[in-house]
Amino acid sequence: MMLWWQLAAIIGGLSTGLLGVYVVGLRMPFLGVGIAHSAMAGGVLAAVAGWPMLPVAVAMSLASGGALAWHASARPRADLGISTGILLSLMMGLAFLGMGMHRGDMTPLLSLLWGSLLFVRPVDVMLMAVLGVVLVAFVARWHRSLDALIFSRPLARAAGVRVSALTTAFLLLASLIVAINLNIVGGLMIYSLLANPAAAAYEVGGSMRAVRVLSCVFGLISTLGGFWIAYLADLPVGACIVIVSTVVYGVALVVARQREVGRGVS
Amino acid sequence: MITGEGERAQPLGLGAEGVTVAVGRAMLLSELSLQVAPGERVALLGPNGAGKSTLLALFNAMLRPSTGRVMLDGEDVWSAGAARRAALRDRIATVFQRLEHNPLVPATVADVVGMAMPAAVRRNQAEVRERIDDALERMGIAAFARRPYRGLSGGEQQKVQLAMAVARRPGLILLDEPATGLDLDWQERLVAMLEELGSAAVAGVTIMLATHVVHQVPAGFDRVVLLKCGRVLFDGRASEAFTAERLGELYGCRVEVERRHGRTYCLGAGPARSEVAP
Repeated sequence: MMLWWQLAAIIGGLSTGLLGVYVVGLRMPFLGVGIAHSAMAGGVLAAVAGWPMLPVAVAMSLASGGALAWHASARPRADLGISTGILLSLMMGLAFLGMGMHRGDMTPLLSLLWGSLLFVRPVDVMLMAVLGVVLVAFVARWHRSLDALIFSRPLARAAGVRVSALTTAFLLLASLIVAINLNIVGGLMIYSLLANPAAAAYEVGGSMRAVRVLSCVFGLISTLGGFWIAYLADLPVGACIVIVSTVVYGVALVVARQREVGRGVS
Repeated sequence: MITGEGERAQPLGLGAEGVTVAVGRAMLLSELSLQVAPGERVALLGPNGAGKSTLLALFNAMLRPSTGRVMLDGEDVWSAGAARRAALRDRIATVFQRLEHNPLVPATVADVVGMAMPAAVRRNQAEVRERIDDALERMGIAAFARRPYRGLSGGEQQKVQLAMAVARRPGLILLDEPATGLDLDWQERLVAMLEELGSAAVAGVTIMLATHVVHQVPAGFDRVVLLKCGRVLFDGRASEAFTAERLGELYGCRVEVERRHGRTYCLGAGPARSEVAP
């Protein structure tokens, strides 16, 4: 079982690290928590209705990703951060409404909130691995267009990048990955795995290639480091992963500041 | 200078037929018609808010008109399918007044030039690298290749935008106030570059230059279109466009016109007479 836990930590760290590069680059760090809450809302409502939780959670995540993509296409100048914030608040409301209406065992619902690496099943790990491979292939194929999209939308449009189609494909893939990765840290903490490693990589990376590699490495350090600390000290895994990823970001900030001082930037 | 040595781009003809662009109650362009032949060099002059940038956005198929037709290479851009529109866009390069960008992204100059590649080329790593090196070399900024774009001055960023246009090897170049932020030396180099493009030896690209600075229009430009409040005020030869009377009407003030070294300089000479208190 230990092998599956570690595999889940490795795949989760790498895929959220790579995904985070574009989530942070698009200035929508709340995407993770917004989509995670959509999955939670779907899961909770499915539990209330007596339906299977995972398919409904995934469907709700995809619907939310699709809605964000539609909004981004219909209003190209819309701030995706604000739309994600509105989505987050709506889904949080729906999730807690469902929890209030639920009369049965709350444990499965709470696991959606907090997650638990220790209860990850082999089938979940394999699903995570497949989605991780899809993500790597997507980025390898479209990295120049994705880089243009996060660097400058006017440049991307003028260069002929199909901005709406690319944004939609990215958001749907991101929704799927977030929903499946909920098992590691849960809906409340997946935000940190998407934001912290990528934000740290942007601080110290000198090119987009370096940012992509560093973000994966920092994601890996966060999940594996958090997992081992939690395992050895008998602490909650999700909390340890969040704390390690925040420490990674802090170290990156210090390194970036030292470099600026070295270059004479006040 | 713009088109590659080995491959001559096919110049693109363009046209606007009764085009209106309205945003809410504001009329940005009103029933505007304009035809530009392949290989023609056109300067678009007008005060702020005249509709120059809007017209360029129409010709780059980035903006759909409220009414009227936008033609590229004889085709109605918005009746053509998305794939055909993308193929037409691949033949166009746009130089913005200022490129809005995300300062978080640590893209190098070479990365940014690479992002501007036409879709048909973007997947061919070897050709992308060759075009980046060639464009930076042609623009004389090869030493910038590994520098972060966000660390460049406004003028240096503008030079990179010109390199991006070069790298696309386009059939149509749309320049929207390209001299913004450039120092005097680079303003002159830009005018010289556009003049060189105007010569028969390197013809092969259609150029539309939007500016409100008269002396930035190179001597070799065939045609000048004066635009005011979304309408064409004048369309013809530079010698007929650049008179004190026409430019005074365009800018709404008194002007004096001087011609030096084949170029025209427009100097403000006070507000319009009707606005001067007796």
